[in-house]
Amino acid sequence: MSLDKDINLPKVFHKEGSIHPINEMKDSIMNLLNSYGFQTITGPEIETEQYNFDMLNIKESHPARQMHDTFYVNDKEYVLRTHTSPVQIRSMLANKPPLAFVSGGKVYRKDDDATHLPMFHQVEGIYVDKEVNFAQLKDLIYKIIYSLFGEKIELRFRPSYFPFTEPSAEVDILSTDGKWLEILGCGVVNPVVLDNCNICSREFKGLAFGLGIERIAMLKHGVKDIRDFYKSNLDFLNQFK
Amino acid sequence: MKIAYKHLINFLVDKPSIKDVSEKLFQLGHEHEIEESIFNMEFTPNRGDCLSLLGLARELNVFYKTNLDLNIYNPTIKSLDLNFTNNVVKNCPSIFFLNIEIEDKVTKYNDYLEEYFTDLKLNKNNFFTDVSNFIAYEMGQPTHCYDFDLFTDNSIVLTNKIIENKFKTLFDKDIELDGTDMVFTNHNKVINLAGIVGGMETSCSKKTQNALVECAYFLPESIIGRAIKYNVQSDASHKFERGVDPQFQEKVLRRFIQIVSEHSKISKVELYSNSSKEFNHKELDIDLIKINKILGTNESSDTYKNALIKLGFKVDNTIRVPSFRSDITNQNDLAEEFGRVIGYDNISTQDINLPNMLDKKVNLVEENIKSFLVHKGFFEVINYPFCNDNFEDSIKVDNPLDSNRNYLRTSIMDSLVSNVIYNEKRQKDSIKIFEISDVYSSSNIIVDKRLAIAISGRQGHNFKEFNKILDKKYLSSLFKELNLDIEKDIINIPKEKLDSKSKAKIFAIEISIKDLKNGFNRHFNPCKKRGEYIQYEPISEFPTTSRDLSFSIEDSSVVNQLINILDSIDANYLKESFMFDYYKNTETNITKVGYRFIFQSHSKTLTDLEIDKIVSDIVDPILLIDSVSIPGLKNKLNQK
Repeated sequence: MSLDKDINLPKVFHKEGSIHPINEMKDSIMNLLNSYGFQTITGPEIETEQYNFDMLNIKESHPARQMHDTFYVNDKEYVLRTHTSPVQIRSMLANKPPLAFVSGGKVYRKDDDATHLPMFHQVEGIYVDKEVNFAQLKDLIYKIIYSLFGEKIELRFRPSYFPFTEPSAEVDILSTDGKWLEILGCGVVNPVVLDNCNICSREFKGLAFGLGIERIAMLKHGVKDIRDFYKSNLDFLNQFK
Repeated sequence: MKIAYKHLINFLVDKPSIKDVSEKLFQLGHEHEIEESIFNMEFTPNRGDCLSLLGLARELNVFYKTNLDLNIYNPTIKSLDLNFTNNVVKNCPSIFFLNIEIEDKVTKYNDYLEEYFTDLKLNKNNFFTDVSNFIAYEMGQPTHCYDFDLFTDNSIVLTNKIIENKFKTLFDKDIELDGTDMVFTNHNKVINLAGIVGGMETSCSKKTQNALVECAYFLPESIIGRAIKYNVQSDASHKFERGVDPQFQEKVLRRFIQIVSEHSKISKVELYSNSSKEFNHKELDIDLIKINKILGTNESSDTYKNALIKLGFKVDNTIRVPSFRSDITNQNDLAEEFGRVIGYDNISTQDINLPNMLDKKVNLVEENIKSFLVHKGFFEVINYPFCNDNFEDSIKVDNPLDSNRNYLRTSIMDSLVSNVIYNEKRQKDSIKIFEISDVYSSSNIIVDKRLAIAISGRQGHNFKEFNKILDKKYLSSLFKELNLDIEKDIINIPKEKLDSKSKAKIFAIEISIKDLKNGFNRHFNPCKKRGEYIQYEPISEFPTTSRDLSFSIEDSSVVNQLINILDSIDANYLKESFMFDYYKNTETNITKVGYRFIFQSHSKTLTDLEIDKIVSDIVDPILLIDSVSIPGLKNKLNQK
């Protein structure tokens, strides 16, 4: 059917597409951290065990290093990074403190069920300076969580364990149905890790934290099934524009 | 690990409420859920010392008055004549064997033992094994009970070199040992996969009256990974992997004797011990200044020392770490201990101000590509990197999830083609997607960040684009706007082998980000950032049905009115509606407007009748407008 030149021709509004909700959430958190002074760093998804584990004080005997938790590739020469922390290791080795870095991207764990995916996304930050402490880390975490969920959100800090931080904490937020939900891991960088990166742990201390993007995106958007993010269903993606 | 509040409270003099105990456990870092007064504990892997009633009560000593003394058998015990050889002293520096014989079979358990099984809904086995399991729960130290009468002789060897590889566990599971594992043997036969699970041949039964109880300290490194290797995870392996108290073995066996003595007359009790060296307690400096600096606190020396003493540390000129705390090695560890006692939530925040770092955009080109494509109606997708296509430079996954995910993809395009097919099956007739991802190849594990785009079907859901097809020309003209010539790289994906009924052609391209630099190295309007406020509505997997209606309008002054009405329709099951045709006949002055209505239910496949009813509800008020008609509609509806 041809069209004549009708001056009253209805206007056509071209529909926009959308950034993937996980990338949008990741970018938004990284931009927030940039605004605090964290500098974005990037690194490879295929890593050596040295950077992914050893330098982070994750000893050979740690369960995470077993074949059932980590993807090994190329005849065990490399691993698919299990966190974005090796990016921070590389950047600490290449820079002198004070330093504040944020890294974000895909990470891999050997898991595949209704609540765990073999690939998911993390954002991690590290701040190394002469006088930093756990009380300041708490301030930073409050800022991040308030920015994400509003200042009315209730949160709690729980002691936890990560080989690369000591003291370590996990942070829970109180959901609307009264349940505490784990949202973030953080801690004072283990001095062993600083020394591994040629940063004198007697002179410097570090604060570190990491967030799982899928968990936050699910909470913020009300997505119940984590697998929905990676079906590439246009009906799903169309809702995030 | 399940711990009954009722059992835990026996160690706490003040008898606090379950809610109170729960709050204190969280403060100490012990995550849990509560179900029917049972704590389902999730201990962090560094806290093997907490895997028992006693271990948890020791922690709660920080807040409550406790009684941690257990009744144990105190008299001197005769030495057991056992021919024991330890070939792996490094992995097992401390081991004890108890030979205990009872006069009568035990048929009735005392309340505390009986309640362990009933409260935690556990099955009983036989008396000796039941006592062993109870003690593991109570004290955290696994023991293994053999029926001593089933031994060929009184020799036991702990070794990691064996000739015989076949082993049947006491749970009747056959295991083919690979010859590298630490095992106990009797007369060259494997009787126990050390620290993991005992063997069937020498296991205790209800008839057993003469038991040999083994109680050892194994280095966690010597146990980790072995239970999973043979798929025989046990409570013992879990505890040994996380570390038991290297100083506890004799006390545990004395507790064993005590419990047995409370159930039966003991006719024989003899003990064998084999410890390679004396245990040296770790000592750390008292450095409160450092602790306060790590935590950002200003706590007093007395508060600090008291906190450590309550956790079992000995504090005088130095801090002596208790034998059960193998996780404590430096001042940061002590800072965490102190922080747990104060409560992380009770540590006041201090302002943090980061130094100003140079904020250079590292992904500018990538961000610009995304903005450009999203403005043009493309959706970003993210796919897993795993595939089953093995190319020359594919990277092989050594331990894939399954045989369909053996390799890392060397191209993104294939994933996008799958995404197109997935959406075609869901009746999508206009598909524009892209993905930006690292792609790896085995030649030096080189990383290449690439953009892939796939398009299929109609250009858009509006009257100008509805009849135009997404094709090579469309894609190349997009990039021509940016002075990028990509036409030669666009591929028409052959559909013959693809599982799709759609006849729409698929065009795709994959290109290195670095090759797009020139076109995207300038300012682009960023995408709208409002996604994070969106509340997602679950999508339907039921089919969609569409209805096309052509409206004829004689009075051109009501065209806009009609379009406004049609654009704002909110009907049941209406998923999408758009104008796919617009035509004005200048001779007759009649305007024709075509609308497509797409319906979908979240709970069923809609019938034609249901849809006709909804369509009637939509059009009936519209037909009341003078000069608007839908030629042929009434007839069509009447026919159905």
